[in-house]
Amino acid sequence: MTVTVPAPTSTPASPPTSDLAVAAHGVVMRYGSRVALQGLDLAVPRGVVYGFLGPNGAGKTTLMRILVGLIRPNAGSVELFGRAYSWRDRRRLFSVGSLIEQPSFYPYLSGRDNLRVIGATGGPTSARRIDEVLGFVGLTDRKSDKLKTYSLGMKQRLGIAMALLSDPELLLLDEPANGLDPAGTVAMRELLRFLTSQGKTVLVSSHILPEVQQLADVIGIIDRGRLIREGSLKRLLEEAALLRVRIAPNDAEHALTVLAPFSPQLEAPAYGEREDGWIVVRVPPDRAGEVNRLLAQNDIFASGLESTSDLESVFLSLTAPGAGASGPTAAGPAWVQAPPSGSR
Amino acid sequence: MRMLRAELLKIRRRWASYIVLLLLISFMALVYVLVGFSIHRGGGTSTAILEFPSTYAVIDQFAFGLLGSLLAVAYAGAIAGADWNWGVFRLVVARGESRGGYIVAKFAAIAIALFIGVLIVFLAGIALTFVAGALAGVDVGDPLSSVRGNDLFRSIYLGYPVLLERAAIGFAVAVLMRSQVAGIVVGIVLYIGEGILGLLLTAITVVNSIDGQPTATGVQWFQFLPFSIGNEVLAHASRLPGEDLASNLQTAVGLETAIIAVAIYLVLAVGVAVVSVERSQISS
Repeated sequence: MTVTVPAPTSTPASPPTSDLAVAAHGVVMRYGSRVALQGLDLAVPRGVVYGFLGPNGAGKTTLMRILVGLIRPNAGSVELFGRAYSWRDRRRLFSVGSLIEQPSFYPYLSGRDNLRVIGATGGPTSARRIDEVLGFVGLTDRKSDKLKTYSLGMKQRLGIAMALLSDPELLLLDEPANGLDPAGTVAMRELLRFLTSQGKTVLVSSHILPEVQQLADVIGIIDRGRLIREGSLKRLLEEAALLRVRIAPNDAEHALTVLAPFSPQLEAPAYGEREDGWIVVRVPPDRAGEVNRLLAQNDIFASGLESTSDLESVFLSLTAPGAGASGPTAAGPAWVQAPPSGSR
Repeated sequence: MRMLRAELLKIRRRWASYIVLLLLISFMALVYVLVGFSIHRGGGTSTAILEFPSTYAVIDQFAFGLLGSLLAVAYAGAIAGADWNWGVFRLVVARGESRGGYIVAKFAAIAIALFIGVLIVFLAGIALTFVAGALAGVDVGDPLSSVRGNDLFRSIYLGYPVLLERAAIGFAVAVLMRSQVAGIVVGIVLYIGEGILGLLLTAITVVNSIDGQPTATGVQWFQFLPFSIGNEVLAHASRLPGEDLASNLQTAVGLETAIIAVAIYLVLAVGVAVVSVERSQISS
């Protein structure tokens, strides 16, 4: 898909004063007796794709609703582009595009007319821009068809087009890959990459972790209304990396002693199973050679060496019941760590 | 203006706009044709209904009376509630649009649609008078003579604000309840409920005041209820011989007072809708 984005038609009311596109400080949101956000802190740098992750009901959509003025938090504050934002500053949303929850349309209107009527609200939108965003999402050929004839994926693409209408500096996308076919997912990824290359910021929440892993520069993981990890994806994956070393049974005890400096709490390998003899060491993949050399120097020869590091295992270990500070990594200097405070 | 144009586009493309009009004109056509046949067969029906200007009172009843009002309440409720049902209001707010401004633009578009609808109903009514007159073999007269023309315009300029006020109530209910169906149903129930309440209260007042002897009892508070006050204006706009019992037993509210009350209800209903969206937390 060829993507061309014209110069922005709207910009924030005043020059940016911060490197952050979004900052949340101690945001609390309650729905009746249920606490959706309990002192959430968040920092989204400008010009990146920020993957916003969390289990169902963790508070991702609630934060997005706050960011676009749909709801007002009970406590805490939010900044957009370095300036305090409240729900009354509606004009500042002219530079924010969003797709929150499922896309919303008039089913009896065509795709293009939906964009026309929505484009008549908020910041000014030209007819040219409408055709442009239809092109971005590959719906030019179907623009005159009524919405009710669109597939789920097409509706999702039109929702993304709506979010792009005002050529926003900040794009908030809640599960944008919902219903997209593989080609659509790849095209969306390319589009978002292109937008960030133009200096725009994308905050994307998703449950499709491999997708986020391919897309995001920075990750924020929330659970039970609190941020439990935030930082660059590369750093998180490195810190969460595991090296699995397969050792013969008679070398196991010696290997544990040799590898102890790498990883203080090593567990003895299990034997007698199909996948037996593995010792798991927490080191980044680039230190695999070092581990192997040390074993060899001690006359221990590994029959297998595997390096694993994926967002899914990181996410699951961080958000599992009882996880948090005892997750796979200790928080490094670049990371914000806020372990959950017990159950909801 | 761009928002108003967009709202008008939505209304123009929506089937409900045409179905409401078609329903009203179909009922009117049925009545006129039946009256035409009845007179033709010597059924004893008065020919006044097929003669100008008295036929305007009949058209009035369709446009602004029970059927027209019910349809206006339901239509406004449907248009307002749809934004909540389809989640579009959420999208509009997220784009930084003024919540109140959007609601006002939406109601303004409904007002324009209703005005066009009223004109079409009157034109259809005039055409149907000619058709029914031809069926009955009655000379319907000239609908455009100056005196008779005044009757037509008076009907419209007094009836239209009433219709708008009723639509505003349906509109406000739908916005408050954030639902298309709830807006339609509750709006209609309020309209019918108030009518029944008005009749009961009239009957109680009459019985209490003169031992059940039907006579006018002076202006009562319940004549100022939102839908009842519209009937007071409509009574000034045109009056068919032998109208409803309540009207005959009550002292009419002065036209000026009634119009002011209708205007207050109209502004109040739209105001309530605006205030409710300005303050609402949109969490679904």
